[in-house]
Amino acid sequence: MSTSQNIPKGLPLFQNYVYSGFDKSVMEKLPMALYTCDTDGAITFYNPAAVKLWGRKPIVGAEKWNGAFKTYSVSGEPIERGQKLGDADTGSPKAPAPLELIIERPDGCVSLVMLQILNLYDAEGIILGTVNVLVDTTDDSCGNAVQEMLQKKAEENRKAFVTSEERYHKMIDEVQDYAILLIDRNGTILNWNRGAETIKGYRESEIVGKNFRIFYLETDRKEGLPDRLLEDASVNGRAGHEGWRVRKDGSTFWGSVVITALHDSNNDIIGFSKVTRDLTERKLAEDRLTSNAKAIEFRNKQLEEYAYVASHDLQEPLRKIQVFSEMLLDSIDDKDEVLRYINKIAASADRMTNLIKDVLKYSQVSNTEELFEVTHLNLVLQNVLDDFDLLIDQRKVKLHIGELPILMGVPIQLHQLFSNLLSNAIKFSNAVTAPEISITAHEPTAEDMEGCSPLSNGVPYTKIVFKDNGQGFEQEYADQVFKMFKRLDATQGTGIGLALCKKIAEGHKGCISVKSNPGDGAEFSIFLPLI
Amino acid sequence: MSILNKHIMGSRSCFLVEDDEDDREIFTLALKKAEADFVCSTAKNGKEAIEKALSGDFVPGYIFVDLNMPLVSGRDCIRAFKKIERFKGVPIIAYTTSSFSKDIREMRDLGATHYLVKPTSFSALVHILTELFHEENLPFFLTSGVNAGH
Repeated sequence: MSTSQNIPKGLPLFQNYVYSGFDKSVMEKLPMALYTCDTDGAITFYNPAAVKLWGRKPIVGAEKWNGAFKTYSVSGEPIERGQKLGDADTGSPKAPAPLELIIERPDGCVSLVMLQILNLYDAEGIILGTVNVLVDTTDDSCGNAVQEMLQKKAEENRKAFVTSEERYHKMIDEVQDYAILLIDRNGTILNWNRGAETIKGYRESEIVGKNFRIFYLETDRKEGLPDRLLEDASVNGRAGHEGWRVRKDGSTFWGSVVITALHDSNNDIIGFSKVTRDLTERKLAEDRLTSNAKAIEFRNKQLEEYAYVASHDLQEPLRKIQVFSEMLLDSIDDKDEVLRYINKIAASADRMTNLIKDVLKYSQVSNTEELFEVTHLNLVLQNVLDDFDLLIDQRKVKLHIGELPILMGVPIQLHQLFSNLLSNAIKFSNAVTAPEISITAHEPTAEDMEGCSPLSNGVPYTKIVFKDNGQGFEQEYADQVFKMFKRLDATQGTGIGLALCKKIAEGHKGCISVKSNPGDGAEFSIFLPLI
Repeated sequence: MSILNKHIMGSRSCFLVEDDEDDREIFTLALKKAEADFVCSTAKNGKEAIEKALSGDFVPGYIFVDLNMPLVSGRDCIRAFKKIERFKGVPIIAYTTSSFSKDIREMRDLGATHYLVKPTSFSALVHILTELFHEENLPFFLTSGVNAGH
């Protein structure tokens, strides 16, 4: 061969080697289709015969390995454009046989071809890339037989896909315990299953095409929760969340949601699958457990309080009885002293009785819901006034009673509340002027709402005011008066009355506060929800 | 007040802060029985006690403070006394019904000298007071049960 002298020394001489020194003009004139690629597969050259076979001109330097419009294996499986078709034939015994392929032109004509790949070397023997030779082996002009085969294959694939999709669709559709849906990248709902209908209440025709944000609470929507979940799923592949969701009828359920991003073959996100379970029962059980634990903690704290009370306030009268009995014995012959000590013992015993009664009353105030009933506060107050009839008469108490609302409450507790406040107002009346007590209902002011933490904006509250013209006290002790056994005056009462009032008000989801000035009387305000 | 003025520096004097009238009487009688020549001035509550302490110039030999009092509690009262320069070195005895460990710890932390649980017997109180005025190195926690023995 005339070219053999240009082959570098030491390189075995095989017919399959191609020199870069080939004259491209020769190749252009060859009747068979031929193109070259660099080592990365980028097409560097092709001849007119290749253009004719492909029916197109691929972009030199950009397209890789294969310049055909569409390529299939001989069995009709599509081969992606840009995919490497095969290895170069090095001429060794293990070298691959020429590839058989089907290529399709943009005009739809198909050809059966043989592809031979040969390495291309430079003068130094370094691989520059490949020379690819395509030989058209189609027996008719537009490859009708091949085309038929391709169409049949495509139809088979389609049928298989439809069957598999139908089966899949059925499977998902029949799942009842999970809402499984497909949403697009913007969150628009694309399909619906039976579980979704059961859990969320919408029928397929009502919901497909709507945005999945509809399932979220308004507050969650405002905070952008649904979009944040899609974003999370886009970035991390999936996003999980548990929270309250809204059904069609507006009721809520505790949903456990997993959103998974779906990708196409180019790894671009085409949508999301969303699987939701209704875990309301579990959530409620958990909440009950938490609330029970809190109640137990509260009871324990109360028990501790009682223990403190027992070690403290309940012991005092008892100790006095013991001490005075001893002192009485010591002066048993002095009749006046004996009488004096007996009176003190009796007074201490009385106080002990009152303390025990009041502690019992305090501990009996429970917040069981079944005790709540429609309560006419004016009727409750009238009953209290009847109890105090004699005292009101004796002390010449002037009363101003306003119209009080009707609300849901525990009548016996509200009776106790009013009774304690009225008795307080009379007890701490001014020595000079006759007691004047007004009991009226008002709408709470904005300032009241701030001062009383349980007051929520959602529910309307009423403010019931007990105002007297009695002794009053300094405002700095206002918080102390509601504490158990805290008395501002050592001589009267057990120190439980107002603590009980506070407990009752709070049990009604309300609160109690007081404003006072020494000599100006006191003004107790009770806030109760109007439900 | 006249007592306070007469015994400005008397180590044989007591200042009792106690809201309960009966307890004031019991204490005064017990004191008289324990130490006949001891004088005792009293305050009816913490507020009055602090006012008296701040406005007067008396230095008592011992201060007894009931813990459970209205308006200003015994602990607030002791806290205030601890800040008064001339009361430095004066033993302050928390005097209360409660033997609650939390109260005892709190009083020790506040710097009280002793914690005395109000005895259930008059003679026991006399006994403890006598001990308190004559013996040194008494424990922090004083009860009739522990001390009645000797």
